Amino acid sequence: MEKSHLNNEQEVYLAKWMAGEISDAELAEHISEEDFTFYKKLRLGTELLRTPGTDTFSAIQEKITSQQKAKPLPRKYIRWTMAAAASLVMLFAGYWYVMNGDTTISTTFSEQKTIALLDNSEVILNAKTQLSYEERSWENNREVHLDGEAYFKVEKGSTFSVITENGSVQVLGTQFNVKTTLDYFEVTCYEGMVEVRNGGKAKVLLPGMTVRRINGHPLEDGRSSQEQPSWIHGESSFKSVPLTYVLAELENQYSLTFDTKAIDDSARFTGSFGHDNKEVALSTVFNAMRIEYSYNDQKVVVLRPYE
Amino acid sequence: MLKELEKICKPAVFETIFKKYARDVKQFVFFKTQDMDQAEDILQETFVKLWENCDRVSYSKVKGFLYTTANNLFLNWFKHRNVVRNHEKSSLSRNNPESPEFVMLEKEFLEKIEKAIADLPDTQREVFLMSRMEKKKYAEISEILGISVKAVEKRMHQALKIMREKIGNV
Repeated sequence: MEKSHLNNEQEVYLAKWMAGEISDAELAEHISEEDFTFYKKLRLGTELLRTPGTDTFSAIQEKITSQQKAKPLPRKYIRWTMAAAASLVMLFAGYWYVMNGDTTISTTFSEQKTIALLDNSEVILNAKTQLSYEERSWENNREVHLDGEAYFKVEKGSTFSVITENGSVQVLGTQFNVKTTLDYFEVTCYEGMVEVRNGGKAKVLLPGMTVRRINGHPLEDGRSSQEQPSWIHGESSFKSVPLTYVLAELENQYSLTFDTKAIDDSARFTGSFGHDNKEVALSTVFNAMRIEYSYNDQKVVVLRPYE
Repeated sequence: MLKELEKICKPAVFETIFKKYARDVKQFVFFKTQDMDQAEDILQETFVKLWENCDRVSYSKVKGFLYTTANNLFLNWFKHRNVVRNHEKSSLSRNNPESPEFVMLEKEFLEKIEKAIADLPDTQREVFLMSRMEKKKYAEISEILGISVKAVEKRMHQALKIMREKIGNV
């Protein structure tokens, strides 16, 4: 079926043919007729698996507007038609300008919010998170700004970007989690494909892959076997994360303040705590870290290492 | 749900419906016509009809409306094509089954492709998906992944060869 020279590392004619850079005839020189038929079917098949894009959608919009003009109508319909045409213009051309300005949604301590964006994309915000986007340019520019942590289920379509202080995430597919607090930045992909940009570098994540960057260190790769982030089900999990970020999360979930003068908050914590019981959460984290905690008068939690 | 009738007439909702169903409707039509351009035309026509009837189709009936409309448009096209064919007996259109260019594609083959894509090694799959599903150029992919264009092409080439082996003769 295949000639031996085809195994040559340098050969990329299949890739070139798929991209239309070489012709059918040129490809046929390299492979058997059977193979050629196969690759034609594969090209056709992948085209069918692709969701029709904006080119198709704008062709539809054009047809709609032109048919509206072209149809010769009886006189009595003309006023109705004009009204319809006017509303079409309003809807298609003016829609985005009617609603303008930034939309900001935020959550406070121990709060979670689920929101639907304009295209039915869904975002779940974890506690103490702020998300904003511009409704006016949404159609052309699906871009949100995030500070905190959020889980995204993005409808397929044009590129969807999440911009944060710590880097940006470009979505090529569908479900992912972004956490960006202080100088902690973590992205996990649960479905589809996600592109993370940070410090001039880009990285593509496939499902189950996670990448994080702590305090200016290089990006670390990791794996996640979960199907959704655990915080959605009321639990915050950490894998070898400096204590300072764990405390930040406890503060967000339980509206607390910690006094960390006596402890080393760069020690790493692996484990999780629930969002429904403060005392259990505190003892889970601090027992594991061999830290004693007590409340002072101002409701500040004072931390001390074990004797 | 009270206002669900009006919802389709909103461009944003209309577009969401398009994104949700366009692929499946196109596949549905393609398996009847075996002609990609025709499938695309009928798909576009179907959504034009949906827009024209957007105040009469309730949200829950959208899917049925789309498939029925697509099927009717297909039948019209099919009748018309036969008339044309009978007129010019020697028609050699691109999708003529006797023409050597013609390849027949079945639903089962699509399923095999999907499975083969899932089985590809991660590095090859990301290139394959970006190229074929996102329609990105190799140069764009090379930029995103931070590798050379040549390396992208090699991964793509390998991916295609592996898929050939996995799927076998068709």
